[in-house]
Amino acid sequence: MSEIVLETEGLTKYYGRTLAVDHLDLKVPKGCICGFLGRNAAGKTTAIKMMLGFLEPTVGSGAIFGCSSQNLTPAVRQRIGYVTEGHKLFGWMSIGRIGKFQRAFFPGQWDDKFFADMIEYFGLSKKQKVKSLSIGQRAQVSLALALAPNPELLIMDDPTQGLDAAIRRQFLEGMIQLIMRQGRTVLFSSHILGDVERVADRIAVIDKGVLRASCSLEQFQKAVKKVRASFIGEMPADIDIEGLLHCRRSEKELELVLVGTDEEKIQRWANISKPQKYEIVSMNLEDQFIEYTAPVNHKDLFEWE
Amino acid sequence: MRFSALLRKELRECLPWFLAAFVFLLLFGSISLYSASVLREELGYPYMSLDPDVPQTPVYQLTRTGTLSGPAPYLFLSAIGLGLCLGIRQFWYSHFTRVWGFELHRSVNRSAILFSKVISALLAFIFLAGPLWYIFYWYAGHRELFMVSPPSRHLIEGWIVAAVGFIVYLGTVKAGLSDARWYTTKMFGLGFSVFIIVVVFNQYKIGWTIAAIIAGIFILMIDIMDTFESKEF
Amino acid sequence: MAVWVQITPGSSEPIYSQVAGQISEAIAKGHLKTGDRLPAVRKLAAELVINPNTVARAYTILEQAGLVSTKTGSGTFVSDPKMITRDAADVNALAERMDNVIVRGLNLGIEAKDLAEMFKSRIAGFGKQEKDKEQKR
Repeated sequence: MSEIVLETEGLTKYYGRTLAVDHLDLKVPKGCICGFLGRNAAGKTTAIKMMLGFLEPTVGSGAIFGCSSQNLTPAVRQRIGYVTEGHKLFGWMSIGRIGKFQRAFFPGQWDDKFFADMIEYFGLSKKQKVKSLSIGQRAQVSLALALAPNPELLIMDDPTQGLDAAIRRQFLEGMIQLIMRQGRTVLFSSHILGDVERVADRIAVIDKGVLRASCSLEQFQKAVKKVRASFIGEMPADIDIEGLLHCRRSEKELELVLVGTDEEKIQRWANISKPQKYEIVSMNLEDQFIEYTAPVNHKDLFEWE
Repeated sequence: MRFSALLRKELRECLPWFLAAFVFLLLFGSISLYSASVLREELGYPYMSLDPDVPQTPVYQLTRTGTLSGPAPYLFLSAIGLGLCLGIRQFWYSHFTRVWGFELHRSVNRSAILFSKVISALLAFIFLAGPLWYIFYWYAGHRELFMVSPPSRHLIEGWIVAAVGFIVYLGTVKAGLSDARWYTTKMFGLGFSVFIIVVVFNQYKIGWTIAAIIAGIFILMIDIMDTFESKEF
Repeated sequence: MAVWVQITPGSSEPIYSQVAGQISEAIAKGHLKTGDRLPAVRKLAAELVINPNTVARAYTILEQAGLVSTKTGSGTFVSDPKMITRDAADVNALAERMDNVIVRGLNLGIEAKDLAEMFKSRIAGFGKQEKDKEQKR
């Protein structure tokens, strides 16, 4: 069992009467890349801010490297790299200057050559002022600033939102490079599922503040299934099958979304319900995520249950 | 090393405002003093003295008595202006630009970040009022130019005015840190500063004036430290 | 070097499965010969920009299938196909798959002998690529 680097226990945040995060129990083991998935305003940024001690939870707690989130010591903060949402940096500083500023807080860890190489690789100059950079370039600087101290834990809040494909790729490369060093862990929130699928080992799915899944990517991909069954005669009024998430009906077809139901159980249901034919439809991660986080009683073209 | 990095960053951010206040005070203060010397005004108002027989006037009369009554209002303006600008630059601006995440995730105690800001502001006030007011005071002491030299007390009173500017700074900081709406209690920090200013300027003895300043700074600082430590960003 | 492995995120096949599948295809087509060393896990992960654990998983699958073998310290090498142990179940599974393909072909109206020709030419295609490689050497 790997060491847990970041964990939360019942982490909850109310804004007045709005529940932003609802009893989050997350465990991020060392050495993994954990993709924190959720739709817009699902509570990802709020959760991350609580983990880093920038917001106070209404209930519950978080801990990083065993240190309580509300009281992260300077020594612990030195082990964490943080890329903020929107990559906000000091506009008046030049790239070189902000590099020097960052370096002061990671004595002994900062790799100056790495930082300089990254800046050069991105086609930027140390003399450029941060305020003159485009958002993509600022994101690149942000990435360089986060990676140069070789952090043990890298937390990135929606790092690639609004960025072009080339820069998104650079972020992924950066994550991979980091994870290949001994004992590094990455937690990043995103809703670009293609990116998550590439690099994540584990995913945590948050929906309306609630943690809906926390498992390896493979487990999630295996667990969420879609079954399409066509009927000649009557369709069953009640669908009794374990793990049913959604059910959509049309005149002659039934579409079931199941979670964690193995093929045997599906076969058994088919034997009872007797469809003319049925198939397990393949889904990609995006489809699985959409189905998994869809509201349970949504109306669509079909009758809803 | 970390604190010095924070301090250097804060000082650099204060610099433009400090320079603006410095140049403003230097320019207008010098012009008013110079024109007073040219006009050879007779400035024989009763001024504050430690002599109990001389009638006392409250501190705010600084702007009406003595040779330094020329530059005094400019000192007042530049100190208040600097206080407001620095408070806004350090604690309000970050909200608009949303850099708090980057600022606060540092391998230092949160109070170190606060102190780097407050100390840089304090240094700005010291270097604004310290040399400039002394230069004015020294120039006004030239017997061949002015009829009456300002008493040493006016030097101290000038620094009191600068301290008042620092209190306005702290009030702005407190307002900036408040999460309340602007039309409710957010401005109470500034309101408190104004209250302290009124108290300061209505004292007849300089000892009480200084005591009021120290009390004002103390109260504001304690509150700011508490708020900053536990504030949500 | 690993030009024969291309992954498509967003497909319904998990990435580790794609990697394993493409390497086995490369072995079958002769791009990778017996004794060839597969790229190091880290190298392939960095090249494809995917998690090294995903590559490791793919290599494990291939090893379990007997297509490659790992020598600790040296790397992962393509195994001799003649050394692969296959049991009756594997062969039966393969026969079933073949049956499925034949059924589809017949349902499309292709005659049996044409179907057999198709099979032959496609297999020859695999072998041809191997021959081309040999000629280039």
